[in-house]
Amino acid sequence: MKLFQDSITIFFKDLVLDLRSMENIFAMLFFSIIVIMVFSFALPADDKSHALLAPGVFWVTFLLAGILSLNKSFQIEKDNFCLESLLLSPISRGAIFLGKMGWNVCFILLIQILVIPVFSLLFYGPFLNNFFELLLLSFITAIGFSSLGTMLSALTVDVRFKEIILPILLFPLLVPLLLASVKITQVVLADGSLMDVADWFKLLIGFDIIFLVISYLTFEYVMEI
Amino acid sequence: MLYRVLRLLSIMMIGVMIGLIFLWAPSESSMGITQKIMYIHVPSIITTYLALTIAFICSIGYLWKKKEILDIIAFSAMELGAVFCGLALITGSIWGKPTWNTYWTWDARLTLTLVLFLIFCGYLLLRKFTDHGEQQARVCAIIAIIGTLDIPLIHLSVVWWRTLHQTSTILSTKKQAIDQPLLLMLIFSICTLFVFFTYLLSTRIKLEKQSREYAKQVANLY
Amino acid sequence: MNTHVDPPIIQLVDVCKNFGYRSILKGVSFELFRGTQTLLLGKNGSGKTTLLKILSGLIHSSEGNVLLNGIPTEKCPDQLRKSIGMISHSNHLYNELSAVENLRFFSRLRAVKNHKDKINKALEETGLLKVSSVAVKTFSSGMLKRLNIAKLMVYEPEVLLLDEPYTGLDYDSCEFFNRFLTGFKQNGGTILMISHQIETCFECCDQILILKQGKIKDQLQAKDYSCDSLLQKYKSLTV
Repeated sequence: MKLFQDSITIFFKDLVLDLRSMENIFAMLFFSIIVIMVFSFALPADDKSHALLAPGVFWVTFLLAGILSLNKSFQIEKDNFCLESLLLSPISRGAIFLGKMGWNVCFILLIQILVIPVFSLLFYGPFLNNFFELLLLSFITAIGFSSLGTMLSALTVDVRFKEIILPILLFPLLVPLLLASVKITQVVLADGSLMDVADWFKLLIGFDIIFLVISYLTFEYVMEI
Repeated sequence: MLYRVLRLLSIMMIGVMIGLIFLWAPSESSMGITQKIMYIHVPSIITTYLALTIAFICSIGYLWKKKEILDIIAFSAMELGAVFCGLALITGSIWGKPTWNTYWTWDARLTLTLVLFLIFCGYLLLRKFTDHGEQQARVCAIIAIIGTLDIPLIHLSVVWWRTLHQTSTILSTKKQAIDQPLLLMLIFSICTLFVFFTYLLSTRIKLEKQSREYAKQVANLY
Repeated sequence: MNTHVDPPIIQLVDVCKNFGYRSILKGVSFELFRGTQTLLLGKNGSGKTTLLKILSGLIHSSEGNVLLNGIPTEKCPDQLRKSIGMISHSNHLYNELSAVENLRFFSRLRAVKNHKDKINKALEETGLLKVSSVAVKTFSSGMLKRLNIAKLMVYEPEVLLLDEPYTGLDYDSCEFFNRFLTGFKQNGGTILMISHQIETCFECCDQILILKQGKIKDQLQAKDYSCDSLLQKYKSLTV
């Protein structure tokens, strides 16, 4: 019970911090727009190419913007040594993980609500027709992404060049997540049957569960100073 | 004494292996002499998995017992794992060109072996970017544990993805997926590389221990 | 010589700490008793802050034991964290949150009962009630220190670990802080303080520990020394 109470306390603290300053939200949103714009310039401009490439471009944008949110996740704790204060409090390390991970999922989802229409506008129109399916898929993907990402963000908080080392460590581990998300998105956009990608759903959900549990269990060791 | 024995055994077995590959093992009917690189490629990838398993076990052991020797073994195993994984990728590419007319394709098993190589490199970079001590050992142990969970995904990918790759021949339940002489040669190559890996690992552990001992003495001079 | 009747609240037994290849602490042993204030002196790099972090449970010792009420701290981490309050160089507060929000957050994590009343009382006593709704990023260093004192007032730890607490405090704030520490001690609290401002804190101290190159060089009783003689002793031991 105390675990969940403490997690919720930390969740709401992060929520207040991010929504009050808004700088992280704007930074992530504008970064996503810039990435979409860069892809639009770099890739062939015809509708057929965009239709083919849209799922991949969308999820790469998700990953790159998501890394920004993970970087700042523990950076706010490092500022003014608030991480020490958290660690001095009589709470389990798992509560810190769940609170931070929970807010990272919500934060990413909040950004996706804005990015999906922007993506539809700038890159591939039909994305908006499947808004809720893509949002649900974003939610499932965000759980796995945030579980692993929050743990690695905490792991690298005291490491030199942490902004570089975090994506180097994280992206190879997220390949199954990325592949599953892209495959499912392809089927969703083609209005295909989700039964065709049932295996990919299993992989995605399995990935989420495995890394949520592993990250929770190893967080105790991550949070030793 | 142990190092000398392992060194001698490795040299002998590698010599015998090379001799057998070119003088005894028959060429495969469709691939010809190119197929012989399989005797380096397959043992390399199996040795990579062995290295990762050792690192995984020692990393769990380190988080549990906090013994420095476990960190040394894990680090040495990961370093060698990166080398053997790189070797597997290179030999795979060399094999791929005449076989599939391409050095590289985003085939599932190849892709995930590349991912594994990147995990090894990430571990070594993380090692480089953290100062020596308990924190370095701890964070690297966690990465080794997480990275090892990639192995089931590699295995799963063979089943789920359409692939250009050979399906597993050693572990295949199909009768005679590989002919007897080729199988014997492959098994001998695997044993040779295991012995060579053991020699390299024991030497690397010894070097790392000596290096840390020296660094400790230098650091405490002042 | 130990003249205390009660058992010590904290004991360190042969504590060693290595960072990388360097030995920072090399077999530190001492005891802290209830209702006492101990001053930890030592040159920069002697291991004082490391010692404080080990006592607080932030880092683990490489060897040796830290006991809280006779129990090794590895076996009672929650109890240790409930018992310890810490003030260090940094302010340990979230810049974008207000004073009251910071206190509320940390009180919730510590499951402090009646935390709203305690927070109001603490803010009033530290003179921060009028600015309680203002974001902490606008506070001066003195105000931040007082807010950290308010934090300690809210969750009432048994042991205070203070790392250079007088840094950034004006004369009035120092006086206020000393009054707080005296009251804390009188209520049975234990204080371990690192400070280079010996003149400011000497009057309140019961025991002085001198740390040199990771070892306790000497353990002195404050009543046996004046401030000047202590300074002389400190200089002679740390040369």
